Amino acid sequence: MAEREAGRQRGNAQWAVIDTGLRDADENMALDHALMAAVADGRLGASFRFLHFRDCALLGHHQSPRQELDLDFCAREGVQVQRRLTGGGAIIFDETQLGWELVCRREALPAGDMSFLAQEICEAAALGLRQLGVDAQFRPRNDIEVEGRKISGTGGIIDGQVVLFQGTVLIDLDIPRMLRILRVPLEKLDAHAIQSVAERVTSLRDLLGRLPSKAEVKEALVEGFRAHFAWDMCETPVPEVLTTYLPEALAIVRDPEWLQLQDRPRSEQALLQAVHRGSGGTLRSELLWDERGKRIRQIAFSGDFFVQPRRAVLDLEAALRNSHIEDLPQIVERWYHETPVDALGLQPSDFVQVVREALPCA
Amino acid sequence: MECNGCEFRAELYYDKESQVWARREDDGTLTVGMTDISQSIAGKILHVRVRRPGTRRPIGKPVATIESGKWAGPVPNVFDCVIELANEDVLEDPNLLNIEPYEAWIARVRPVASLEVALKDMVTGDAAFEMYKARCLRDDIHCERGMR
Repeated sequence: MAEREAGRQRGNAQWAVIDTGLRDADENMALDHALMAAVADGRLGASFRFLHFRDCALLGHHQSPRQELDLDFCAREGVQVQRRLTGGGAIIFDETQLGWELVCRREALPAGDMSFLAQEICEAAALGLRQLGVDAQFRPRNDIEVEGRKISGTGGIIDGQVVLFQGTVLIDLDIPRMLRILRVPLEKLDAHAIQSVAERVTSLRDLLGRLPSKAEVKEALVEGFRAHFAWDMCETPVPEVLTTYLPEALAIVRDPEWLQLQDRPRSEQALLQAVHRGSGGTLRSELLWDERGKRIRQIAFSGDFFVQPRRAVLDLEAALRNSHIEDLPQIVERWYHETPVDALGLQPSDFVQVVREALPCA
Repeated sequence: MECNGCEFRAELYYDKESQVWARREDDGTLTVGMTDISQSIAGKILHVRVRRPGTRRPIGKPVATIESGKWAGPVPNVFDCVIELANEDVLEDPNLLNIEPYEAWIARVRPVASLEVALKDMVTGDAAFEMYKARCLRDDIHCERGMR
């Protein structure tokens, strides 16, 4: 604990808070490149940026557009498609969401390994969201959640000594639209699909029963980072130096090659499902399967079974995200023994079984 | 040879931060990969992307990018080179970088200048081990191979 405190205190005390306003996805992504380059060149200090987007879909750095998005729908609806510098999954962004990020040299942040650093940053953001009256918490490995439901996704990039770590805040969310963009076909876009997402994702509007202003959310986030790291954060105009980096950065992200950095067929990432009937009830799995890497990219369990607390299943889903199929039994066993689960006859082997039954050649 | 459980191979060349290794090949190319230190810091590696063969990568422009958990990042590049080949096994299963960092090479590249010029800023042998140990101890890095 003392080590943790010492780590926090090692951080840089001076942070410029900037808001680059409502922009198209390409400009926002180009600004990420520009910020990193300016920090790398020593022309910009530690910066905390708020981002606002026009309707768009953002791919994780290593994702394939064809695998993740309904590109025809995006083109028809004028949804811009861009690629992030950071990893993780595809997300949608519109004016009802707020992006935040910090860009700085490594030494401006607490010492420690990369997972510790990600956790520290997520805990600062969660503390900020708690100022708004929601019980936001960091969930190990993935994101910031409220009672098991995701409210903020995060990811980072480290290039030499320069770090960029960014996240979203779902102030409001149009789930059917999100599902359409993230390639859920219209015929499958039923109440079950929408309900399934609503059980796993939430928004400030949903939790507070009102739509908080972006100014309110921004203030809360800054307060969270200030309190968690004891940083001196001061709002400043967008630094002029970025304009020298922006043209080159825009050329990179507007080059079609940027979006096609990864281009893989949909067949390598199939949506699979299975139903397993055990003594504890009927268990259904739906998973996004990476055939090439033999990994579970995403998974959702549903069905007619009893598990208390309800969030335990959501925690298992989070623990299984991006896991190799060989690790499935250990992850499920660990979850079963480390979480106080009351599962009325449902055994760890049932969860393992319903995943394996969904796989090709099971 | 190792330090804090981080394996070191004296016959390879290393950058000053011991992040990447390079091996001289008989045909004048260099094989490059991540060190045990780098794979341990990165954690479980989920994605690797290598630039297309034929692409020139000047100093500082990465040959490859990796992604692990919450973090993405370029694999540092310390010489001007053209990519000749990506390791398909690693592209197929990026986790190999965690399991056997010195067997699981990332790419084979041809230096634009001579091999000697390309390797002039890299260190090998005992001097490299001293540098490698210093990095492990300075940043308190402990290595673990084989994480899935």
